Amino acid sequence: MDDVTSFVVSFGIVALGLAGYLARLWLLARRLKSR
Amino acid sequence: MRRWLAWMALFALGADVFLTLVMAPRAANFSAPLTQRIFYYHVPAAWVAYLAFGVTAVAGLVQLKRRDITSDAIALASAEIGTLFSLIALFTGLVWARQEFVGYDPLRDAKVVTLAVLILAYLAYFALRRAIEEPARRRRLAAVFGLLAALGVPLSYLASQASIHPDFTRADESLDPALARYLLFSLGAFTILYAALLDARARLALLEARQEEPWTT
Repeated sequence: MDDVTSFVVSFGIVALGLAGYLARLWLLARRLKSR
Repeated sequence: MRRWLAWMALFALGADVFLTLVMAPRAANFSAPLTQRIFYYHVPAAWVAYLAFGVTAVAGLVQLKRRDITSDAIALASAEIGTLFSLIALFTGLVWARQEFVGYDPLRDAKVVTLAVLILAYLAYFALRRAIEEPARRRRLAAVFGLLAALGVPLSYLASQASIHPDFTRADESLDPALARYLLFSLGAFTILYAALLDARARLALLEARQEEPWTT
């Protein structure tokens, strides 16, 4: 992997991790509020 | 989620991205200078993970004393966020180390192994919570498990001394002050982000607990 690719991969890990967790919170909120 | 806290976290994170990717100077002595910038996210992610696991342990102590649902909600929320940030720290660290060190073997790196064990301990914490149906018993056992799992935090932190992992507390590895101020800003931004996520997740956990047991406090 060159420097640019590993830069993109590492920032992708941070961005996807945070976005994935926010999506989980949103889905959980929707499920709990519909009960 | 408290709206002002969410806005603060968004603003801090936006400013952090700008400062660390645009304004921060290029670090010397790195074979992959672009990937090196993940340092501004990897270190704060590890800090938030340790902080979050510490909060889970403290909330566990409060739970054992008061037996309330609020401390359990905070413990669960913080354990979840700690696990997320541990995974971020682990994988960003692996990408950087692969780029920076020739012939790097993560399985022989004490820092990687101890962090992986810490993550597994918190995955076991979530499994334990799912396995116990009776809420009061689940809260108590989870509190004890959360306290025990937190013992892995100092182990993971101190593993730097037996690893190729950089350790800026060592006299021969001091951090360039020009980079240190950007790292400090990033640590602050991630701490605000942690507070916002904790607030949001703990509120949901409380809502879930009240739906499960409407009579509890």
